[in-house]
Amino acid sequence: MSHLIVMSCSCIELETRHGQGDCKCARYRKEFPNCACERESVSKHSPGPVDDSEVLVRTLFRERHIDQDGRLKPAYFRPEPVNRGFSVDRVLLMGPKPLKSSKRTDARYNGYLKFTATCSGDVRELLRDGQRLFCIYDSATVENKAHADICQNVHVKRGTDNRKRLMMEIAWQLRSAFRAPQPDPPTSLTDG
Amino acid sequence: MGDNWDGDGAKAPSQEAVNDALTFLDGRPANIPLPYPEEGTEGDVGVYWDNRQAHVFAEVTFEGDRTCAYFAVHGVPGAVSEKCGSDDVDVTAPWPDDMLRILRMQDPA
Repeated sequence: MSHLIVMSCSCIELETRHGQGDCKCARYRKEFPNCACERESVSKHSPGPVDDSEVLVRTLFRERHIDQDGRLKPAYFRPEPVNRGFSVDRVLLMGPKPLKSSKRTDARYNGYLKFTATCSGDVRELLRDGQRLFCIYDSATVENKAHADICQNVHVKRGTDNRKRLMMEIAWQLRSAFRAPQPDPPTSLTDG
Repeated sequence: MGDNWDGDGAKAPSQEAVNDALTFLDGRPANIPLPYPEEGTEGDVGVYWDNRQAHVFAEVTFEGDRTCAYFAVHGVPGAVSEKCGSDDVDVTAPWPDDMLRILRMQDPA
């Protein structure tokens, strides 16, 4: 029996249909490859596509993701960019204090909160053989207009030689773009 | 560590994966520093080295099937001087020479 794949007419339709799904990034890779959906909003709740200069903040809800040197563990960067998207917030759209407050009402919150940040341009500059490694989509929701997702753009098929090694290398690159976690959401990256 | 250790549905590390990591670490050469431990979301585990001053990074992951996968690099994204890696390495085999060469680049010489 063949499987019928229903293609999305537009980026916004893809996000509406699959935005909460576990294979969202695979859909983007297949239906709108090479970050085509970065050129337009993928959500009607978004104020606009993510600019290269924007600071993106990732919230950490568990201390176990951080090693004894205060750095994020490499495995933290592996699964989500490939499948459901690595959620980040566009901090200047929300403001650091409201962002932090909103995370205290998240279901994952158990008393621990830290924040790691990157610049969207730094993520977009990551390449493999000339191809962009990651795309950034303005996947805003009704509750969070500042929400965005980092999705892996390079598809490493199952069965590819040394697939795990390749996935480690890709995650190493993404990890290198993020700063050390800190207690409050950074609004600039000038502090390194 | 149990299931949902990350608050997001991750599986607990499998005993098989932990055993494979310990077997692999039994073969650690004396001049190689101890790595950091890490956990994946699918019951897998890993170890890694991250010496930013020396621009040395290496990671080895274990899924509990008596093999491991590794990636090692000297450099930073966009300016890599050497990198290596492979899947399906026997956890009882001697550590790969190419990974050891990169790990030794962090030695103060």
